Amino acid sequence: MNKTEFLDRLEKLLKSLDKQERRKFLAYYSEMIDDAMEDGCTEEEAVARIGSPGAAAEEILSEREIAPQKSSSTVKKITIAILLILGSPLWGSIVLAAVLLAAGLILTAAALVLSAYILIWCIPITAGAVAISSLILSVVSTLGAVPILLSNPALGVFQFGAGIMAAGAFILCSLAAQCTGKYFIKVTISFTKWLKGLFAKKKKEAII
Amino acid sequence: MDKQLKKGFLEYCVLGALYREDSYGYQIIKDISACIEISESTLYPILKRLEAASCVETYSVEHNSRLRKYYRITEKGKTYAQEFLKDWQQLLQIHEFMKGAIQDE
Repeated sequence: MNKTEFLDRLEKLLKSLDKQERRKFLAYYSEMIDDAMEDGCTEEEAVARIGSPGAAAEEILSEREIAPQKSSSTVKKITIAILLILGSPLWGSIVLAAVLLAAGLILTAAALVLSAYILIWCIPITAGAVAISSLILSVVSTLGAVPILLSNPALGVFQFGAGIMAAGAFILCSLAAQCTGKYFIKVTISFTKWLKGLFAKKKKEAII
Repeated sequence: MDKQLKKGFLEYCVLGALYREDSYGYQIIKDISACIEISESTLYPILKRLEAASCVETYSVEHNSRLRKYYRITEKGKTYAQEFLKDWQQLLQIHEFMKGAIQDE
């Protein structure tokens, strides 16, 4: 086997190494053969000294497995880390769970705020509704009492009384609605202010 | 000789071959072969390891219109080689201990 044949065979056997490393090995063996030839060996003898390309490759590759791996570049490490985080099913599910939890918390908070407003306005709205229905009832009852009064005085008087009672209920309820309404407007304003303050506080904290 | 043990000794032999003057692969093998058997394929990883440990440095010299890689021993390599000779007493003790143990059997 001549030098070129030997180096070609060795190059093929070292395909698993990266180009730069492979070139170093080939340069090393090339130099060895050249030096042996300068020392008086024939080309065949110089190649035979080294042994078969297979044995040389085996020695190189087995030695390489023992040697510590080259530390990869920082960019490579970061890329691997990102890929690991994104690619890992564990990480993925944790992130998904966190997103879902956050969405759930936001929805719950919104529902709480909404129900707080409804709760605050429940009393004045009820009072208002009762007041309006009382007004209608009193008008209908009082006006309706007139024809009944003509045909059946007793029933008419009762009907008239009921109408006046309804009017009284209307006055009371509308007063109640007005008072509670005023009060709850104040409560609503302060509640909204408190909510705003909560956000402002959080923003401040976030800035800090 | 045991493969691992030989590997360790070969490192010292290479440092010994480079101690007085810089040398190149083929010459190192010729020098060392006087005391221990070494092949081209075993020398390369030893040189690489010594270089990684900063015990030797390399440089290229043009020779007959081709490049020849030379190896030079560093101060660290010299200290490392000197320590081996100091360890000799210890090696002798191990040898004696082993000899005694085997003879007693």
